Amino acid sequence: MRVTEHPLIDTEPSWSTDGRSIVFMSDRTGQPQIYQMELGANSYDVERLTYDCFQCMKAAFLPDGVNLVHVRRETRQSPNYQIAILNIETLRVITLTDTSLDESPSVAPNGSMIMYATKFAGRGVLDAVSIDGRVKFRLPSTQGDVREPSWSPFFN
Amino acid sequence: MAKQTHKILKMGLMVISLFVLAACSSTSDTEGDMSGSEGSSSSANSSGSSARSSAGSNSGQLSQEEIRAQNALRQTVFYFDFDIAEFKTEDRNTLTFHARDLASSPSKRIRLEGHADERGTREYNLALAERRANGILNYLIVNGASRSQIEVVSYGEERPAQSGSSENAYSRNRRVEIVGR
Repeated sequence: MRVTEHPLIDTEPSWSTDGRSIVFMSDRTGQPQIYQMELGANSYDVERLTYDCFQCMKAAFLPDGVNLVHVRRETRQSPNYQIAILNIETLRVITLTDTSLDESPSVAPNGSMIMYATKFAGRGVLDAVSIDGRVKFRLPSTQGDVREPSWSPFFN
Repeated sequence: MAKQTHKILKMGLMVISLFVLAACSSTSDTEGDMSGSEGSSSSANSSGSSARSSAGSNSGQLSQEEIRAQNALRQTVFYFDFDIAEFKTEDRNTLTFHARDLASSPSKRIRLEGHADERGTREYNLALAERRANGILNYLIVNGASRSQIEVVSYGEERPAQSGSSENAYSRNRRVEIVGR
């Protein structure tokens, strides 16, 4: 069943924790932004969730169903892509990382930390950050590119 | 009475044909000098050397046009601005030559390979690179190529032409390549 019909890019869909809506990225307003679609019986209401970033993409809910981890580029001038959390009720944003090419965030099943891909010395590596942004560590990797991490449901 | 209606009808037809003529001239104006002269060169191609020798003062221009076409067809990589899916205006003429080349050789098949730089997420870049290739696809079709001659594939950010995280590398990686197949 097709739920979006927009001619521009709609991608990166992710279910809400209650299964009633999908968050996705669309560049229908010119730049990638995050939208939420309520899946009603006969209607699909789309609401834009992000306004204060140049680009916001790759959204996924934390287990609390309120906080949305995403990849964020603040302004056109600042070239950094960072991992951030948006509370969709208060619209408060916390940027968790300070490296420049962060992507593919994957939330641990217990919601305590986020694994993500970034670049270090020209290679793809995996970093982790706690959801308050206070603890960060890098998974050791000696060669090649490591990318697109995904947590198992058993937190291991 | 009947004669008068006939006269009015005749006048009307004249006015309509004037409009049609005006429309024709305005399109060729907006397409620019290249497309006008390119049209004459493609007919020269088919008529061969006999036309060239009899064309007199026109012959220099015709072969120059052929050289332009050959040079244009040598360019098979088209670069894009950051986060922009539309090809650059300066590439339009070259792409028109590619379209006409496809139109004149219906058995020719090409693949448009879309690419993006590494910034932004992988899924978005996959879609962006596809849109870049589709933009060129549509332009080629509008200018005479057939849809069945062209295959489109998007590699997103997965196959950079130049590695590294510099603006120089990025600008070389945001591209669509025309590949023969």
